[in-house]
Amino acid sequence: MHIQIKPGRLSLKASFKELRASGGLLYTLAQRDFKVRYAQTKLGYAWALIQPVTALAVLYLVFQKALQSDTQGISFLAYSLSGLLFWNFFSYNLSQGANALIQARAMLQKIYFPRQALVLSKALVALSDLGLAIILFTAIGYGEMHFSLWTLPSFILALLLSFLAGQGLAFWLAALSIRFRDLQQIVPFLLQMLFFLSPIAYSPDLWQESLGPQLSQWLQFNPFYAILDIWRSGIFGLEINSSSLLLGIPYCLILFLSGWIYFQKVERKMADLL
Amino acid sequence: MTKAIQIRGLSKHYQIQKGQSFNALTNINFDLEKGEVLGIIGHNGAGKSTLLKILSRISGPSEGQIDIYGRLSSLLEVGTGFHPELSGRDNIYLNGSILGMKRSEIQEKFDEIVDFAGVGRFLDMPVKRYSSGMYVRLAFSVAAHLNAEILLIDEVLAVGDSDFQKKCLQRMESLSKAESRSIIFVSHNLNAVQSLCDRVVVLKEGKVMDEGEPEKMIALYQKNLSDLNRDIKPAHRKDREGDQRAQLQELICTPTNPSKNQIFSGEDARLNLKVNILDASAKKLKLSLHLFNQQGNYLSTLENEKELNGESEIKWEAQLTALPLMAGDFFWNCHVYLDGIRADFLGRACYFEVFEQDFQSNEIAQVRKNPGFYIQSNWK
Repeated sequence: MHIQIKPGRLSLKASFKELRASGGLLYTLAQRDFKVRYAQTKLGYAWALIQPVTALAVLYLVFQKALQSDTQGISFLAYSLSGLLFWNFFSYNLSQGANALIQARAMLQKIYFPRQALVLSKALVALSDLGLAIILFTAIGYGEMHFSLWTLPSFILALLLSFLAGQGLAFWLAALSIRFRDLQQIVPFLLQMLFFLSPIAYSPDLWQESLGPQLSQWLQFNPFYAILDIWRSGIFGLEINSSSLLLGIPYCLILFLSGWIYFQKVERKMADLL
Repeated sequence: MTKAIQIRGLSKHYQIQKGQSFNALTNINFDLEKGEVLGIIGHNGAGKSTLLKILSRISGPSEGQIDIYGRLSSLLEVGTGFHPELSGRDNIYLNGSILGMKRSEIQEKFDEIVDFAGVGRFLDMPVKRYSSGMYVRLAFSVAAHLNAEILLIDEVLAVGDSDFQKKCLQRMESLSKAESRSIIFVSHNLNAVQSLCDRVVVLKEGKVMDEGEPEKMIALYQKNLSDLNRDIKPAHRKDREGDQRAQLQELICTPTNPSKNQIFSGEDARLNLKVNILDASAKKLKLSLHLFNQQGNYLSTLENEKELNGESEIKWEAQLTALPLMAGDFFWNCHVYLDGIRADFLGRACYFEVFEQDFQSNEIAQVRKNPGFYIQSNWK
């Protein structure tokens, strides 16, 4: 084994290789987060269920009872839970990943390990929550599901895209937050805005009608637009917007890769800046 | 011999402010051979920790190239990455994988780690309930069982009780001798450096001053320490501590009798000093001078204080009557306080040498270079 240390950042290939060589680090870090998360809470793992159920109840009151929003002919609970599933996965990746470096400050100054693992490991924790939420979703929305050959691929694709988008943004924010601590304040706010702009508890068609095709195009810059479109076409058999595939996939990929590269660029200076 | 690490032209600059930079390391070149224990010594600020941080890839170099042949792990501080809520067992896995071990390797060494740390009964207890001794033992134990071929070790031996320290030293020795790992060892513990290292590099102001046999290098380092800042006037010193509302400008120690140009044991001497006060609102100035001999052993303290009325400069003179010091080299550390808060500190602010009329009388103190008090006595 030969390692060379020179000024400047690692090559992209070398950084992936290093991460692979780090053995169970990703898994161990995720296990730590998972165990620590509900340590010394009275309800423990039940919180992983209580949170989505409460969120669903509030959405129901606001969007269904008060606003009577359109849900493309699908019952409200099934429709909004299908969105909430991936939203929670995405937002956990984003919010926890963005904070990961600042949280691990002491470690970063003392030990070297592939730093990406800190951010990436959050995806595994989020995945365990997703598993639980899917059980809930199946229990509530089974009657509305429309299974086809596209169902499983659409799920995997939506999962992959939420991962890429959430992690990509997390890499950007984590790396930037070392220089600009203000970002820590912005992340919750950003997520809140993104939540309301994403068609989670309402149909994306609402935007088309109210903003017109010209303006509503801009909403595609929200990666969640494409993700939900793909997933709902697979699970409910709704019509898919071709731009979700053509634009959404490269868009999420670019988010991820650019985030990764920027993160790597900052990586060598992290210990000096923190 | 084959090389474990090769360092060529390594430099590191830090940006302090716009346009201003600080050279922490300048053109460092040395090698670590396979199976060798290399010690690195140097004063605070000589660049030891920067060098270790770059070698362990925590921060990047500004120039130069390092080639590392083999798996490298660094123990810059034991127990980093431990999570207080997790059990001892979980923390072994967590810390092990952060330090670069695979899960299967940790499993393999698990019993050894637990045995070495002696925490078997408490494995399933969260480490936040561990005593600090247990905590440190467990942390070192994980680190000491790493599979890396090259280890970077920084002051980890400063942990635990003396029994455990001995155990750590033995473990390091067996790592290097029996398992032929290559080790870079950075420490202030010169005894440990002497007994463990095959070779020593002395760093000074970010440069390699010399490298060679431990004994010679330690002597060089000690000689260098005894001259640290000897030729720099207090006014020109940059390595100050405190909030700098006041600054020591001058501190000299001379014989009172102007016809003599040396200070003698048991004769009067004089201290002259000048302090600049930059904070006009300060009400009270306190000065505290600590006396050390050339081995760095503390001997005594002189203190004085004064009410201030907006003066910008204070000059003081102190008569030291019948100076009760044996022949040898001494220095003062100087603390300046304004209203009870430390405004300035200079270590080794002033050196002075004391001579004896009869050079033969204190041979042992001279040889050991460890002079103490001079007690005037009358024998009958």
